[in-house]
Amino acid sequence: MQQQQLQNQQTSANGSETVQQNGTDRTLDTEAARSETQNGVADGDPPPTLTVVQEEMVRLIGQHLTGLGFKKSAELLMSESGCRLDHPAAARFRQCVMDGEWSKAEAALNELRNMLDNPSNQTEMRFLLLEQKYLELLENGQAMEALTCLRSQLTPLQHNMERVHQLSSLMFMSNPEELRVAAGWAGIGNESRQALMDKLQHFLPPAIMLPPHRLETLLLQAVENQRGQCSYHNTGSDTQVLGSGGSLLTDHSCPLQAFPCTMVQCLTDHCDEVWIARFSPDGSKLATGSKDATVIIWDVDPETLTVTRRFTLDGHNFGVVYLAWSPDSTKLIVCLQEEAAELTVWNAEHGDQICKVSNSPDDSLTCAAWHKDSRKFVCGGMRGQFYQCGLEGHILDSWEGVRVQCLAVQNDGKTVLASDTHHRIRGYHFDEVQDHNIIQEDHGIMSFTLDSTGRYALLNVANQGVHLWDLNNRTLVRKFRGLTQGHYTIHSCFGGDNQDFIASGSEETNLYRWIHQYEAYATTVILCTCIGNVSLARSSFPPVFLGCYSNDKNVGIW
Amino acid sequence: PFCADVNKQLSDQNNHRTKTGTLIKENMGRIYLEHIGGARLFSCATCYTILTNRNELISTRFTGATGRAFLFKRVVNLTYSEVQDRVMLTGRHMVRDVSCKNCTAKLGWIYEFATEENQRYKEGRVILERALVTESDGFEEHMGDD
Repeated sequence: MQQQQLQNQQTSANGSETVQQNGTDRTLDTEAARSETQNGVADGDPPPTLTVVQEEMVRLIGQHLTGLGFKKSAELLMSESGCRLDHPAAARFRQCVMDGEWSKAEAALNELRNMLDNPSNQTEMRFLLLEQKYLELLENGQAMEALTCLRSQLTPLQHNMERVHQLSSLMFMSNPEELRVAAGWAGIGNESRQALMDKLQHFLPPAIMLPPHRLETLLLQAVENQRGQCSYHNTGSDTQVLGSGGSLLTDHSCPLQAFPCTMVQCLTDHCDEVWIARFSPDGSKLATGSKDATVIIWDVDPETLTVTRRFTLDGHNFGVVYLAWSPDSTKLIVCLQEEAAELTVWNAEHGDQICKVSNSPDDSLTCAAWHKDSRKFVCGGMRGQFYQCGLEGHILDSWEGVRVQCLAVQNDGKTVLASDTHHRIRGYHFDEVQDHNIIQEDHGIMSFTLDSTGRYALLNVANQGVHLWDLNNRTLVRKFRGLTQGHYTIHSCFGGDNQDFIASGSEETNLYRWIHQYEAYATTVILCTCIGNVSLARSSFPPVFLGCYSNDKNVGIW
Repeated sequence: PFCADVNKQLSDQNNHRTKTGTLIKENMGRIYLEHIGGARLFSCATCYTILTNRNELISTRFTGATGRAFLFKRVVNLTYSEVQDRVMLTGRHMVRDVSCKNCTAKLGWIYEFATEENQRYKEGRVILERALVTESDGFEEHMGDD
C-alpha cells in the first residue's frame, strides 16, 4: 500500500515536470521510467522505441484522455512514451487562447510562424484572435480598449474588411445579449474560446497540433465502414449505431434473419402464368395479374405479414401484362396484352370498373403510370400510342411517334418518363410539348421503376442485368451483374427502409436475388430459390416485406 | 417449402436458344420483344412480331426452302438453333436456323461462318424466307432534337 502511494507521488511529480518540458528532456523521462517498476518496465530499461504510427496512436490516446478530463493520465502517458501531444509552442499558444491572454497568444503565434503550412495564414489567424479580443472587450464594457483594438490592430491587417466594418457597427450595442446575436458569437468564456481554437487549429499542421477529437473521428469512420460492408444492412432497423446501443467491441453486421428470405406464403389462385404483381403504395393491398386474364386483389395483414384474397377483377379478354396503382392506393390500372387494344381502370376498394380507355382496335396500351393527383394517367404501347387520359377514359393528350415500353411519372408532377424502342428514356412534358433525353442505353430497356424520391431509376436492361441510374446527373451509378435477362420481361424494384436494397427477378430458374446497395458496396446475395421467378413487387412497410411472384401460376410472399 | 413443380421438361425437339446461347426454358413468362422501328417493317407471318425493316435489307437474291429469301443486316426477336454445317450453292457454311421468339415459327437462318473468303460478307447476317414474313408500314419515329 505504502509503496503504491509513494509511486503515485512520484508519478504526479514527474507529471508536472513533463508538462513544462513536454518530452524535450529525455533524461528525466528515462528516470521516471526506471522507477515505474509497477508499470511493467524493468529498472534500467529505456522506454520502447515507437514507430511513427505507434507514436501517433499514443498521441491520439493522450488527446482523448485530456479531452475526457484525465489530465494526469495523459501526462503520465506522454512522459512514459516519450511522445508529446502538441508542439510546446503550440501548447503555449492554446493555453494563451483559452486563458484569453491575447498578446501572449500573438507572441506564441509568431513563434509558430515558420511551422505553418502556408505562412500567409498567419494574418488570418491574427485576425481571428483579435476579433475574439475585440468582442470580449466589448462585452466587458471596455469600449475604449475595444476601439483601440479595432483601429490599431484589426484594421491595419487589411484582412476581411467586411467583417471589420460589421464589427465596428457593434460598438454601439449596449446589451451583451444583442451583441452576441448580432456578432453570431457565443459570448465570453470557454465555449467561444474553444470554438476559436478549433478554427485556429485548422491552420496548424497535425504534427504541431492534433486535429480535435481525432481518435473519435477515426473510430466513427471505422464504424461507418463496417456498416457499409454489412451485406444485409437495412438502415431502418439499424440498432447498432454508436451512441444508440451500438458497441465498438464487436464488428457491425446485420443478421441474415433480419432479411426476408423465407417464403411465408404461396398463393396458388391463378390458373395460368402470373406476369405481374404490385403492392399498393400504402402497403395495404397486393394486386396480381395473370395470363389467365384476371387480376386478384389481396389484403395485406400487417401483423402476420400474409395476404388474404379480397376479390377478383375479371372480364378481361386477354392476359394481364401490367398493373399500376394510383398514388392514393384506391385505383388500379390493368393493362392487357397488345391485342386487347384497351385498358381498364378499376376501383380497388370495391372492385368495380371506373372506366376503360379504348380508342382504336389497332392501339396497344401495354403500360401505364399515374400522375401524382391520382386523377390523370399516361399509357402507351409498342405500336406507337402514347396517351394522357383522365378518369372518364377520355384521351386528353397524345404524343405521336413513340413506341412506349415502360412509363413512370416524376415527382415534379409534370414530367412523364417513357422508355422506348431506341433504348432510351426520355422525359415528356405534355403541357409544354417539350421532351428531352434522360438516359441512353445500348440495349433494350425491358422495364424500369423509380425510387420513392424520384431521383433514382432502376432499369432492367436486356442482356445486361440491372442498371441503377441517377436521373438528376443522368449518370449510371451502378450495374448489377449476374442476372441473365433478355428473353423474358423481368422487373426489379427498390426495397428496404431507405431504399437500401434492390431486388430483381432473374431468368435463371430457381433463383431470385436481393442485392444490397449501401453506398459504395453492392453485394449480391442469393437469398432464396424460387421457381421460375421473374419479377417482384415490394411493400413499403417495415420490416422489409417483399412479395415476389413467379411465372408459373404461383405467387410467393417473402 | 416449395409449392410448385420445379423445371418442366422441354418438349421441343429443337432447342431454342437466345443470341448468347442460353437455352430457353418454356413457359417462364411474358416474352420481351424488341422493336426495330423503321418505315417498312417485316414481321413474322404467323404472329406478326416485328423482325426487321427495309433499311436492314442487303440482298433479295437468295433462295430458301420455301422459295425466295432476303438477306438482312440486323433482325430482332429471334431464337437460334444449334450451329449446323451446311453445304449450299455458294459453298460450305456454318449456320443456325432462326425462329420467331414469340411463336417459334421457323423463319430462316443466320450465317455464322463462311468457309470461302468471298462469302464472308454474310457472316452475322440473317436470311428470312419471303413466304414466312409479311411486310407492313411503320411510321416515322419521334427522335427528338437532343
